[in-house]
Amino acid sequence: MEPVAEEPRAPEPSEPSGETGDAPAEPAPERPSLADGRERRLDPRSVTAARIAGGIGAAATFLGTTLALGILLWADPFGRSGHFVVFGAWLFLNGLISSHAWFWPPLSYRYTAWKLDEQGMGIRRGVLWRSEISVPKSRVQHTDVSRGPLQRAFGIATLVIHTAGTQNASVPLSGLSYEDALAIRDHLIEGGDDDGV
Amino acid sequence: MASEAPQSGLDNRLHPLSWIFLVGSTIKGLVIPALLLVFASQGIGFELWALLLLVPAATVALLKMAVFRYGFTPEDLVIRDGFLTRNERHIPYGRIQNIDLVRNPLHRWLGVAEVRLETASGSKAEAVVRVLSMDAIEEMRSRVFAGKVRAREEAGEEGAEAAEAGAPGGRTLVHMPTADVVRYGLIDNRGMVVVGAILGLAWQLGLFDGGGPRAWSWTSRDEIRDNLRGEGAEPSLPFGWEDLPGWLTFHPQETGWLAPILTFVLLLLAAWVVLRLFSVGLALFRLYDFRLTRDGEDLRTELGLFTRFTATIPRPRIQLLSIESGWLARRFGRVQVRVETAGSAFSRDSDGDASERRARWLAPLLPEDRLRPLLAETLPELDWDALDWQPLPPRAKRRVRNRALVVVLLICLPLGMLLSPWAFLLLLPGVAWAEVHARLWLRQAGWAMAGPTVAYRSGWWKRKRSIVRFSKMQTVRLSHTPFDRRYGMASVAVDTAGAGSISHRVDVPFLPLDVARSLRDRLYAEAAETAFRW
Repeated sequence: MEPVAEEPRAPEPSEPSGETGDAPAEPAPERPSLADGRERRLDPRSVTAARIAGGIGAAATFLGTTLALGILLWADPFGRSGHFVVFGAWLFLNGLISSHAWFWPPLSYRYTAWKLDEQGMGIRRGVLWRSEISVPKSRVQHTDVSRGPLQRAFGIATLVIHTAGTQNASVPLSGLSYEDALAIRDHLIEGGDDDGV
Repeated sequence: MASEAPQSGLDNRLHPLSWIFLVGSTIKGLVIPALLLVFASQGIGFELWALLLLVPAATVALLKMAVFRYGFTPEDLVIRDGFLTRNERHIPYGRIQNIDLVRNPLHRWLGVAEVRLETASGSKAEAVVRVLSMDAIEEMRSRVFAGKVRAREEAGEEGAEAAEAGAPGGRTLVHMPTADVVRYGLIDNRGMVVVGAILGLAWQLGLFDGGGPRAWSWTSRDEIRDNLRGEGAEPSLPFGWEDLPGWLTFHPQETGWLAPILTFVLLLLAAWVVLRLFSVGLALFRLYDFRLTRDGEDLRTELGLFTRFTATIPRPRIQLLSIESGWLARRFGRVQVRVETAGSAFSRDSDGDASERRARWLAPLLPEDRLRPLLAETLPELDWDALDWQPLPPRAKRRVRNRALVVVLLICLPLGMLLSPWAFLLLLPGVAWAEVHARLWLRQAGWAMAGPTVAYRSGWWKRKRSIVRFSKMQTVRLSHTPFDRRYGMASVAVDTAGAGSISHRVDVPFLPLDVARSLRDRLYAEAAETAFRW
């Protein structure tokens, strides 16, 4: 399973283009249908958004662990040799979390893709444990498009597809551009009249 | 239509004796703990006063009964209840998945039953009606059924199928003789539940406090003698201890190691026998006179010795059918057949534990030769003989063995490091077991497609087969772990409504990547083509 083939319209994840952020000025009809069965990537801006979200988490961890470190050094329960262990643990934990916050989003971006066709939607994700989930259009119960404050700032959204299933009763996909999320939603719920529950 | 709330439609009431059961259900939760408390504390204190709280509870129950109404509009079953907060619920006939009845001896004596209406909405029964007379229930059933047929005809399908239905009674597909119920008890492990309950009760009643545990503890006779001598009393053993034969107590200095080991084995054996007896008792209690009847498109199961449960499963709403045969069941020449429906997916009611109600029995135990006729009746789309079971690739054996080896290691390492290095000797049989397990597992596992169904089977000690119709598939998931990628494999899982998380599902592991892809594509296309109707 290779990473998704590079698509011409998707810029590099590391350089999110700020000017496309205010795209919804264009009227919708000019957009070509997304339901062409081609694999597409998420919005590259999602990488930056994920990095910021991760950074917030890392900063919180940094604050908490630094406080704990200070207390431990002050109270000194382990003696002098314990200082190195405690300090080492602090360094390791913070290094791990902040490097995860920086390096993981582009990696996960590379391995995440979605495609839409007349039959439904396919979502591929996962860096180590990878999965491709296919949701037939006829099985979609309802869809949610949600956006947090950070996502709004970057013009992206989370699409959640709900089915009547058990293990995959809701299939979330975050990091779509807001317009794509709306277009996918419209495509998935159009003509959903055959569902005589 | 909810806003109109036509008074005329709501002219049905509960059975006049309903208050007995309403009060009963309110009290049931309180009485037994209260009694236990009184019993355990050996006295009557404030606990009895707490019982006075029941009076308002009973009054509320009576009021509830007085305000309860239900009725039938052309489209919906309408239920109105609530004393202060009035709640009117419209349940479209087409959405009612199951109509379940519960009848305990009191219900049966009075000719009434508790009715549970289930829709697909999950967590619990949509409405519990306590209680209706059997005539009223029959009317409700026929009304709901007629409503369903109308809803289907309006949707323009399955009308022809439904036409034959409506006749009361129906044909019996499965009837379990008592011998089979006993066999089921032997197969089933549920006796453990009873043992647990008894232990819990004993704990509550304080049987383990005071003198109890000393007599039970694993001390040698000499030790006890020594202890007693210290207290100045004449050396004697605790009450009852003298009567035990010498080999039953633990003193290796005198008898060597054989006796205690023998004792241990005997005790285990006795525990096993007791457990099985409990299981058989429980099986008789719950499954006695199990019956599966077909009435048009509805399958009806009826079971229970004292409390009879009646459940209706609309045949088109079977989401997943699974056939199990454990080692003992195969010795008996029996299989176990159950189905999962959307309505009962998560229902955890006070009666009947979760696992029992999530998956419904079509036959707790069925002679193997009766399996095919039953499948023909319940899942006519399935052509059992046409299923061409595809084996998993031989490479999968290594994967299975490695997984088993990890388990063996996880057991042996801590034992060997903490207890004694001798425990590492367990690795030898462990490795052998892993090899045998992998070989046998691979021989059994496989997947198949026939007609509009997909099936998966696995397990060699307890063989399980699961079958899903294309029209009931929700999502198809292809996934691969880093280990899968090393072997070029992937697994394909089919998600359905109402698949319990523990139950066997169509989740085929260790497929070659190309096979997995084509299987996924095929299933996805099939699912997309068919409309899902619960």
